[in-house]
Amino acid sequence: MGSFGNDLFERGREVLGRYGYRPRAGELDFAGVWSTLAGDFPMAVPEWARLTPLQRRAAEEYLQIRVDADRRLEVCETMHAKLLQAGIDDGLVEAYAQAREAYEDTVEAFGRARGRLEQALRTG
Amino acid sequence: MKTYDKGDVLPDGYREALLNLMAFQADSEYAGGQRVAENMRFAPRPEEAYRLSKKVMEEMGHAYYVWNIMQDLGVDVDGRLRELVEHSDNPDPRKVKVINGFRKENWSQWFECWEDVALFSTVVTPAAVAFLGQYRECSFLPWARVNQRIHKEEHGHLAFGVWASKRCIEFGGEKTRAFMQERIPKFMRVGLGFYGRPSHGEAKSAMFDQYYEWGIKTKRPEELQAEYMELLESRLSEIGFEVPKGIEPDYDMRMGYGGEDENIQAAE
Repeated sequence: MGSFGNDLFERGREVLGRYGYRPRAGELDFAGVWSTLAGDFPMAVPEWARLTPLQRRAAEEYLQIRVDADRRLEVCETMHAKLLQAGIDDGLVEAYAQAREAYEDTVEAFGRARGRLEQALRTG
Repeated sequence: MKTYDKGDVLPDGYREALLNLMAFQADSEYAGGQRVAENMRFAPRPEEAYRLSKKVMEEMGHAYYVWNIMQDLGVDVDGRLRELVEHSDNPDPRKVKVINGFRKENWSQWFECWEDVALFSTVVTPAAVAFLGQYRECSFLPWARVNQRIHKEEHGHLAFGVWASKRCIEFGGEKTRAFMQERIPKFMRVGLGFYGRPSHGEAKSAMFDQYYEWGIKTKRPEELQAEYMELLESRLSEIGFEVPKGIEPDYDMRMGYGGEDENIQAAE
């Protein structure tokens, strides 16, 4: 994906990488990434293979939304690079506003999915 | 109050004063986003990391909105963006107007842990909400409209601070609550000093009256400080913190987009 012309974004994505972010990731390896996200919950989290069907569904939704957020973040960062290269104008500013609103909505959805998964982890 | 819209001829002196404050807002929104991005390293959990990343994108978006209007007034805003991206640690003050608090050498002194990140949004952001809120009613209508958009999102940042603080306590317990309570005063000094100096008395700001007369600033520092305290008290009480007493504002490190203590120097 390149640097987007901005080192700070590189460093930010390294932090997200602790929690499973991979640039333009293809297939989802939910079991592989599960352990990196366990710290998001204020209780002990079972291994992937030990999740109940209800917990598994909630976990898959939570992980899928995180991946969607990653893709939308990449769209935002691409827009930053365009603004830097082409210059600021009405069209690009509004396109960036739409891109970041999509990212922001997905991050909010990620938070709600985390809450549902936490509930499922409590109830089993 | 006389108002001006896109394409209107602006009176002598008004344009320079307007651009001075717009440049402080736009350049500092972007630099603020950069500083928030640096705080990503403290994110202790996935949701915290994603929510902070969202905040970075918002702050930078606010800069783009304001730069876009400045461009209509004939300012080379692309050079400002380039300066901030290429010299994020120490941008040239002759090229951009970044408030003291968002300069890396000052900002980095305040942050040692994620609890500081949570407290900044809880304790300092209410000052930004109150301060930028006044521009929604300013006499330059394109800037007023953009700040209506920005104000809504700054409220979202307040919610982030409350959420992040509660999560710290949820995971760390009462020991963490006490640790955070002790750190509130350092951020409250910044919040109280956000608006610059008082509008009257010996310590009076040199330029405030002119900004106020033109309708570029629409509220006095004292009014903004009262709004700040109301927002702050409600947020601290929602989390279960006490409001510290006897805290003095830090004007030297003010975060406000004031610039009113300097002679007006337009951004070109």
